Amino acid sequence: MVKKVFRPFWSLDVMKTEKWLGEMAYDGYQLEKIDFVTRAFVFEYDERKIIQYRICRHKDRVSANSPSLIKSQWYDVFTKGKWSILANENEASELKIFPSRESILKRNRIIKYSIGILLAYQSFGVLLMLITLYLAFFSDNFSSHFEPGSSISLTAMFLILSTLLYILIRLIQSDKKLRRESGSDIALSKRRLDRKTEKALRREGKLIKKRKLAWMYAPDKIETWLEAKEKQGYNLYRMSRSGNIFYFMKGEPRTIKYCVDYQNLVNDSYFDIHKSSGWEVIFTSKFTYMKYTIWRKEYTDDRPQIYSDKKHRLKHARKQCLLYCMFYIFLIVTAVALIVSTVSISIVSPDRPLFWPTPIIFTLLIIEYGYFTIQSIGYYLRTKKKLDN
Amino acid sequence: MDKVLKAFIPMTETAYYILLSLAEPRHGYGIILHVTDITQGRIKLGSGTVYGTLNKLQNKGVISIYSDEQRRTVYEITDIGKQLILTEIERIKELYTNALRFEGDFHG
Repeated sequence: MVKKVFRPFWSLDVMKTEKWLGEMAYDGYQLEKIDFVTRAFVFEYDERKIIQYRICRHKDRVSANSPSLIKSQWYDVFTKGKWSILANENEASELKIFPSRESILKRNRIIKYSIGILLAYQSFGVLLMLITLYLAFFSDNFSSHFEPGSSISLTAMFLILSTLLYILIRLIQSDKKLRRESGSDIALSKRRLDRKTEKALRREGKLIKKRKLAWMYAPDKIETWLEAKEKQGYNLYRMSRSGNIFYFMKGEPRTIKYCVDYQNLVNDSYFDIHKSSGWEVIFTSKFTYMKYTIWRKEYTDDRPQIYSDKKHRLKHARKQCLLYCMFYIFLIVTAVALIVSTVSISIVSPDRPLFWPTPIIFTLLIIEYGYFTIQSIGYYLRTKKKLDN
Repeated sequence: MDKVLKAFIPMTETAYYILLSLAEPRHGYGIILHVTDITQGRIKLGSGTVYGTLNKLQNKGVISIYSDEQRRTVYEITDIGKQLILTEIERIKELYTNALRFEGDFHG
């Protein structure tokens, strides 16, 4: 007997789907396949079984062929494209190893960020539209005449946007669940004192606040600065969420290695491997992409390094320098083009006088971007020189 | 397979020792400890280096991952990875036999 169940959003919460598949198996319905076009799960009626399911994604079936997973009696129930459903008929308490969640988290991350960018972009458009409508409504010559079809397209847009929002919210919830399961704690350790105590300490002069902007362009300088502060007995206690403010506590001098690490993208094992190697995270930027993390470790004789390989360290500096150079040089060129065009228009047509703040603002921006570019290049050159010696 | 061999051989000392330590599945930090142990403390791998190398090896299908009971990531060598390390070991054996063969000529 075949049973089909329609489940359009099964991939948004894989843990819920896995649990449901287990319940179906317990009722005697064992998963046969998933029809990706109709979003239907096809079950075959058989004997009741206790089965643990895991939904996985992988590039080339590597994880499905993992010798350790096979040895623990995980088997492939169904595979299509990058998706595959693994199952295990052992008791849940006997299961020692599981397929990794990393690729699911990676997929969710890509979808989440894409929707986020799209929604941010769209909401700007919607806001403009609302303002226009609002103004039109209150103007005297308002007529309630809509172009034919405009209400349909408006409804369609509204539906698409709300579906995207729904997917986004479901994915955020599902990721939280996955993270709770793995116990991977990306959040900083909660060693922050409460606001009142902090205030009192600041008044006593024990807690000192220092502001530093744009330090990520020259990470080696900030490392040296922090290490020098620790030597003087100013222990970095916490940083603001934006990373621009450093709070130091007056205490004992310490010998600490600080390490600013930049990654295009991090997964959960990033924090695990550094923490288990004795590094403490003091700051990490908000997004999983283009992530800055500041690590530190106290030492006595051997100065620890996050990158033991010299080549790695140089490659890292080069990657970061190239990224910023490309980004800011592009912005500088755009700003120069804008200044040239505004000035030349005012010269060609005298009836349109130059609006002075425009070129001034753009010149200031060029100076700022130029400063970032120079800082980044300086960082790369310093790293190269240090490694050559 | 040829692509993988081309991309990794000759292997860097770091990548070689990381892969060699995966004769059995290990955590990231377990790899660091094992490499320090078998090189008698000569190589102390930084966790950033290990993280970067493991990601690269994983992207090329040389290693795969699973989660253990505490849901921590465990790294494991794949069949492609086994072929890769065996090819590299052959190369290093040649280096070693030639080192023994011609070593004497430089002592004089």
